[in-house]
Amino acid sequence: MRIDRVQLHNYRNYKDCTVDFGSEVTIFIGKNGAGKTNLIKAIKQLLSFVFSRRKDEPQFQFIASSDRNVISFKPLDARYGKDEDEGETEYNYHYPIVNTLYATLGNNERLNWTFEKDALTKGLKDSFYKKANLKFWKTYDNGKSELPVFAYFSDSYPHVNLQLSTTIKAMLESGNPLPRNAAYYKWDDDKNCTEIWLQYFIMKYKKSRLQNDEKATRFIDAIRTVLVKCSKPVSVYNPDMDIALRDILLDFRGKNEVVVVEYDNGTRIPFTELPTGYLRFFSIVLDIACRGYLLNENCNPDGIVLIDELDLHLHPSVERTILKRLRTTFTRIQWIVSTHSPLVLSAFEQKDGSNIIYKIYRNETEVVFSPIANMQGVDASSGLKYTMDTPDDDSRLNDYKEAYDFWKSKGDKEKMSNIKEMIKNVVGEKSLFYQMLK
Amino acid sequence: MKYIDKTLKKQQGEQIVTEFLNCFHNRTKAYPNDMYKAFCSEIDDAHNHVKFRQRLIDEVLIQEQDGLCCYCMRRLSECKKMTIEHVMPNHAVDKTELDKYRTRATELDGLPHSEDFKSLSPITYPPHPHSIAYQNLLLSCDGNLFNESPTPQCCNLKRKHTFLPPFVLYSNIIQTFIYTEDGMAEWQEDPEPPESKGNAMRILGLNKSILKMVRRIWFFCTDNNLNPQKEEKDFVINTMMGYLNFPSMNEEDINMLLNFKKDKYWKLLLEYDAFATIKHC
Repeated sequence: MRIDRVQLHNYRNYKDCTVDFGSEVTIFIGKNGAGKTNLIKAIKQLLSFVFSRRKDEPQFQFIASSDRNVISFKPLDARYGKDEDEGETEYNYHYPIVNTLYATLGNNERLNWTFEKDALTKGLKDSFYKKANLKFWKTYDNGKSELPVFAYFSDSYPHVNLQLSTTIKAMLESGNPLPRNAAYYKWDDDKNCTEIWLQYFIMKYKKSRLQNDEKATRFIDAIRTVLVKCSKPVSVYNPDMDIALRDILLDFRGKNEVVVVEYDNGTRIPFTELPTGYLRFFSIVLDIACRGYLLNENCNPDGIVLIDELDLHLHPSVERTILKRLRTTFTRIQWIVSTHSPLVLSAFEQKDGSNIIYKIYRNETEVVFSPIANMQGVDASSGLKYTMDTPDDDSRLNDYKEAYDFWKSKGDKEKMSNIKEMIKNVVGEKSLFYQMLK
Repeated sequence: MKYIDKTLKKQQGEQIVTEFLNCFHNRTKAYPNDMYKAFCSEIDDAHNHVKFRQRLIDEVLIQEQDGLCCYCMRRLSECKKMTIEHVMPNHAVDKTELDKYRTRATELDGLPHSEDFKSLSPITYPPHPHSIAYQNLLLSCDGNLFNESPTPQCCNLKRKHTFLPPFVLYSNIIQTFIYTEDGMAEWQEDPEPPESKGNAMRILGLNKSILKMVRRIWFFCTDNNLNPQKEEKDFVINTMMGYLNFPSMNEEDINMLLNFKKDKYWKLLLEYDAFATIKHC
């Protein structure tokens, strides 16, 4: 399954917007507050159309024992603002909220559906997504054939651990395999499910080693293969071994078993003690792999993965390669990611239709999505300048300096001191930049 | 702002609209319900399948306005699309709404509301119904300064159907419409103060900081015998930096000025070359 287009109306900071997605990767780059996170949240919510829980629907059996449901709009999801153009003088919440997603299913069938809410006190109109829901479950044989994975990683992931509910705890302690629908357990939560997957790994690991359980062994091997694979250098030109893993195994610390990773150089470290950037990366891989395995018993699932701030906490060398690592590990996933990092972009190869980079920015009245050119091979500083209109600060200072030098070459002291005053105003009297003007 | 004299090409303008009404009536034996929509789509056989709207633009309006937007004076050939501005809105509900536009004598006087026109018996013209009357139509830019954002920043599309005095048709506009040295536009007879929502400059978005800076650069160049069409942009901006009256010009303005070192801003500046011949006060 992949998503082709989203349309938002009166949703959070969007008055009206339409965005088309690449079939493989879509990257959003923009400043804080441009609306990257809101866009991802809208997609996430729209995907919940799958989890309609009406008893008369064919997939009810699959969904019933899960914690999933269709998610309605929250009061703060309505756009807040005053539209001076339309004569409004007061700040208002604007209704209706109308969000539509266009998607293509695994069998290339297309569908679209809408979440609409007309007023604060009204609910979602279920007739606007019911048809798509039926089509979805018909295509996936009411949950009997291979299903797409959904995964979402927020910008607070994986700092905040999910409190495990008693139900899931009991499931993990029972020693039985998790049900198939656990693949969607809290997939859209800001918090992370790493703890569940680690506990599950421990349980399966013990089953595999102590009881020679074949199924458990297959699971363990699949997860280990994926984690090791994604850690290997992505190209001969970038032989970065810092992150390379040799194996994932179990260790005992006091009473508890702990999942431990073994680096290629032989050192070992508990999974949860990995450096923050690596922890986030490996947690993302573990999450997708586990969800994929639960659904379809393989770790290369079809599906949609949303990542808010792909580059978070990563060392530049890994920033450069993270997308490539993810894509070569999970070749059938559609990636929708936001980033602040030009490094992610500079190592990214765009292809027509399959990969798109959007720069998101706000002009005076609205949010604009503007596709940007291929950045592969562009150095980080130019990349940043081009994509973020940033180091405006630096380039701005250069502009001032140029004007200063211009008048210096003409020997006009009065004009020089005029510009010097402006520079002082920007950087302050004590800055080296100011003091170096002679 | 330039005065648009609707008497000079009146004959040609009215002729095209009359031809349109005749042509429509010959074909359908009736007059259109939506006058302007029909005017935009009806094809003129005598002129080799040119639409009447296009003919009016090509043969009359564009010459009448020297190829410039009626409000911001951008060169129309440079915008993505030009738009037709109805001085009295096409969507005006009735005659009383039109009368608000006729408190001073202009060529708008005597134009019937499109609905009233249809109930005339017998139907005679000119005068033409207000939705398509030549006197009521001007050319405006699309308000899309860099041809990339879908939200109009100025002029016709920014105004929508808001009431706006028809000051471009006032013959004293040359004296009463002024630009200050720093690029601010002001219509001195505007009954609405600058801070009011009904202020003409606000309705049209003419004092957006980017437009102000466009004019300010032109005025600076004229005052200092520089020609932006011939000089390097860096040379012009660097020169201007030396002359800025700091600190009366704040950092935001300076940043806006420095933006014009970018190609797309400079290209926009050149599209406003009409300001080369306009004096600031």
